[in-house]
Formats: sequence, structure tokens, C-alpha cells
Amino acid sequence: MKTWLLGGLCTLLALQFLSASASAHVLQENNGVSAVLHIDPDDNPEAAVPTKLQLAFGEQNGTFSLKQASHLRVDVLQQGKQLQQVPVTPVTSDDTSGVAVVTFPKVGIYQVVVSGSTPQVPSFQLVYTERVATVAGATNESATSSLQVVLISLVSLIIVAIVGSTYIAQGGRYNKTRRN
Amino acid sequence: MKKTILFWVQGIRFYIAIGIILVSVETAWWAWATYGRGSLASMRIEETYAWIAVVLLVLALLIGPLTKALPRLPSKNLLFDARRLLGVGAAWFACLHASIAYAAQFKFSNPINLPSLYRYSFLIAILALLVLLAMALTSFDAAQRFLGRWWFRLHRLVYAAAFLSLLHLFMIGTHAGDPLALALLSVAAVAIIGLHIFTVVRNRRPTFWQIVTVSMSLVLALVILWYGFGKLGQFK
Repeated sequence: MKTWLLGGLCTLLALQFLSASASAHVLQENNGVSAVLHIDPDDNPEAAVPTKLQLAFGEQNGTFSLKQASHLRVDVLQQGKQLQQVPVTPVTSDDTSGVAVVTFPKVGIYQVVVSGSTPQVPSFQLVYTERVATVAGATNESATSSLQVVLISLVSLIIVAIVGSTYIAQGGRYNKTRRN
Repeated sequence: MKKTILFWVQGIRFYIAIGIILVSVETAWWAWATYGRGSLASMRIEETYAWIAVVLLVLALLIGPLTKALPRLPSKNLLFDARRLLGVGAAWFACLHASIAYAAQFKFSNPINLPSLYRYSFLIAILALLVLLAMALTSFDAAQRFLGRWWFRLHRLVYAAAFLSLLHLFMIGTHAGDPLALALLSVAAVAIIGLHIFTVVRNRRPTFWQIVTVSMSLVLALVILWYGFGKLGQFK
């Protein structure tokens, strides 16, 4: 009986928490409003293709509501020059998450500015700095050095495994019978 | 002194510890070589640490039921000896993951002001981390002797830690909705549960804790399949 109760409680807990969804990443705060930005795909934006920005909002002393927020928009700037302005569209299942689609024209450093207001906060401005390092479809220059690191790492781990298995076999400690 | 060194050098734990340190350093090196020193590198480092923690936790969870289900399994003693360091490794990587994420991505922000999903997810993760740390800090023979039966009770909490970690992972994990990640997590869950069920069914008089473990594992599998398939392909 106790077991079933425990299982039931865990299932209820899971049901409650798993009803929402988002992805982890960079948080910025201003005037009591915070938002976590996730860039699709993989937090690694590419130039010249539409990029989906996913924002999860929070607010001090209250729950943020996209329905109640106004003038919610995303500005893309480069060296202080505004390149784009797009509205934040609510995610249908969640009143605290929104999406904006922008296009970074070329490789470089951009400022993504999320601004708006809520009933409690007259205005807020969240500034994220994004580095766009690759153009869609182009090969990654850092791939070679990355592969070198992976190979060196693998070799070092294999050496540890070989040395380890030799010494362990010499010791013979695990040949003895121990507890089950 | 020489005897002590020889004891450690001839044991599996020493090499797992070296492996853990190497992988910790090499992950950071790989991220910096690939993404430079920016925020993307710190994201990749903490994500990789999180996945390594999950893998180590799964391995540690598999050893117990595997050796019970297959009593004549070769290198059984070696697996038992390795299990403790795998658990310590999971706690180590989980700790690194949490520290880097909180410092580099969340900038030591007050958790109460975070978006609600992140607030709940952080709370769950902290609970899981506390369990893993408590287990890691008591994972030596003297602690086992000192705590007696409470040591075993404490270490049973590994299932709660695994359950909470998975919840945290599915709530805000970037790659948890990938088909490969889902498939691997499902296979791991099925393997752990399958071995536990096999052990319990084979035993004509299962203990209360065995039934609890199997039930928890079943809940875990339900959560993985139900939530995971719902999230399939949503996040990249």
C-alpha cells in the first residue's frame, strides 16, 4: 500500500512539473523583469537564415504574463545601429514564454534587445550579446582544432585504461571472492 | 606508504578518478577550442558535464541489478568497486554543471526572480544535487561503518536523485528532446527497470525496499516515455 502511495505521489509530481517546456540558457534582468534566452538551434546562431529566439520571462513579486505585457519586441542591433525589430509572439501553451524570429545578416557580434512593459513595470530592456560565428551551410573553421582535441583526449583516456588494466591485472585483487 | 600507493594503483577507483579529472579538463579544452572563450563555450561545457553526470549515474545504477540478475558475471568485484567512484563522478560533474550554469548563464541571479519553470527546475536540481553530494561525501568505508544501516538507506536515495535529475533535464535541458537522447535514456531506464523486475520476480519473497525500487523505476520509465515523446523534436 505504502509503495503504491509513493508511486502515485511521484507520478502526480511529474505530471505537475512536466506540463511546461523550455530550454536553458542566458538570463538577463532589468527593473525586476528577467528573461532566459535560448536560440534555436543549439544556442549557436547562423548568419543569413531565420533564427528562432525563445524567451522565458519572469517577474519580481509576481508572475509575468505575456497577455498583460505590452510593446513586447526584439531589436537586433550591430554597433548601435538597428537592423531589425520584430514582435514577441506568445507560445500557445504558456503565458510566460514567447518566440521571435530574426535573421542575422552576416557573421559578427550583435546585440539582441528585448523590451516592453508590464502592469507593474513601466519599461524594461534586456540586452543579450550574441556572437554569430558561422554562415549557414559553410564549414566550420574550428572543426580541425576541435577534432585534434577530441583525438588527444581519446588517446589520453586509452593510455589510462591500458595502464590501469595492466596494474589491476598484476594486483589480482578482483580475482578474490567478495560480497555479493 | 609504498603499500598504500600499490593498493590504490592496483584498484579500479584510481583510474576512474584519473579519467574523471581528464574528462573534466578535456571537455573545457574542447569547448574553448571549438567555440572560443565566449558564453557559448561555457554553455557547451556545462551541458557536457550534465550529460556525463547522467551517464555516470546510469552506469552506477546498472551495476547493482546487473550483478544480482547475473550472479556469475565476470569481473563482478571490479564492478562493485567501480560503482562508488562512478557515483562520486556523477556528483562531481553535476556540481560543476550547476556551478558553471549559475555563474556564467544565470549570473548568480536570485532564484526567486527567475521564470517559474526555471525556479521549479532549479529547486528539483538542487535536491538531486544534495542527494548526490551526500552520497559522494559518505562513499568511503569509514562512513559506511559509522552510519551502519543508515548508510544503505541514504544510498537508496540514488533513485530519487535519478528521478529528480531526469525531471530537471526534461524541463530545461537543451538536447533532452533529441531522438537519440530520448532513445538512449529510454534504453537505460528499460535496462535498469528490467533487471530490477527480473531480480524481484526471481526472488519469491521480495523485500519492501525491492518493491519500492521497482515501483520508482516504473514511474521513471513512464515519465521518460510520456514526457519525452511529447517533447520529441521540439528543441534543438
